[in-house]
Amino acid sequence: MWLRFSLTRLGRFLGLDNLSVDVSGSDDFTRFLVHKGHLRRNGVHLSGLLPKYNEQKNRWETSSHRTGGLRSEQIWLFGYLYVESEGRHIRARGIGVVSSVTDLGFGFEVNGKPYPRHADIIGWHDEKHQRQMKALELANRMQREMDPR
Amino acid sequence: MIAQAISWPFLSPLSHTNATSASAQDLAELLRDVTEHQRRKASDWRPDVRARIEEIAVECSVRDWDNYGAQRISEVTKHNAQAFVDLLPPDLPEPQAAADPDGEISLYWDFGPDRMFTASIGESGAISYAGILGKGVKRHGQEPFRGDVAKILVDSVREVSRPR
Repeated sequence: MWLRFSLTRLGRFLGLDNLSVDVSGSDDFTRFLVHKGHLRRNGVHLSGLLPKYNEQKNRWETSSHRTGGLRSEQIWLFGYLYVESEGRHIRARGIGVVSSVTDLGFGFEVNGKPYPRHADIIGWHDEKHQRQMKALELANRMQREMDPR
Repeated sequence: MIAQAISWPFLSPLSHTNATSASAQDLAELLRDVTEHQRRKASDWRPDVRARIEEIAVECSVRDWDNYGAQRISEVTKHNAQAFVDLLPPDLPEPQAAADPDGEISLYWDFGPDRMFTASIGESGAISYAGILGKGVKRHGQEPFRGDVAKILVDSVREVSRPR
């Protein structure tokens, strides 16, 4: 389904037709922030980065999207189309580079599900204070852009 | 009673007196105590943070409150968080309160890049904390909550809030 969509006009606009499987450290990523508690003064609150536990995969993970090669308006459109849903309203996006994730010892798993640009930040510790520490460090390295709508 | 009924800014000039009699000095001392008590009460942020925790507990009482699959905030967590706030020294800077996706409530002190500290508490009553207390200075761990606030938490907040 995604293969066919990637070749459509919208798919090409979102850069899905030439999306590489590999991610480089200099690629950008976005975490869409969908709750007011995810925002802090001029930045991203660690609550917006703390992972949820995936019981099927038996791991902690934070959902994100690789956005390399996309312009800001394309990224927002991507969010409106694939991340927003009934009851889930985007407020802002946290912006970072993949190396800021991997330098902290995380994995950046490009899995393409449920959207081709989807990636999970993985490698979180089971101890809460370790997760807080990493989330703080990551938040400290990220920028924030408010939803322009 | 009379002193409580009078707004404290109006009492303040009366507490500075040149009177020399013993009763005048006693009265001045009493007024100083009252004004100091009222000043502390006025700057005590803990009731506000308690109220914010109350709001968070209502907003986040259902699963998936953040639309990313978060756990709900329980009544036990709310009570633990409020009890923790009550025990924090009121001369610390005021924290923000927030809900964590694992169902805990966290307090957050934010003084800009490289100066952030957070402490969270859940149903178990253990307090998990983490902070960046300056460039490259990290501190994190866990403390039991047994009716007092661990010194390391208070020290960390003072350290992160110290003007540079």
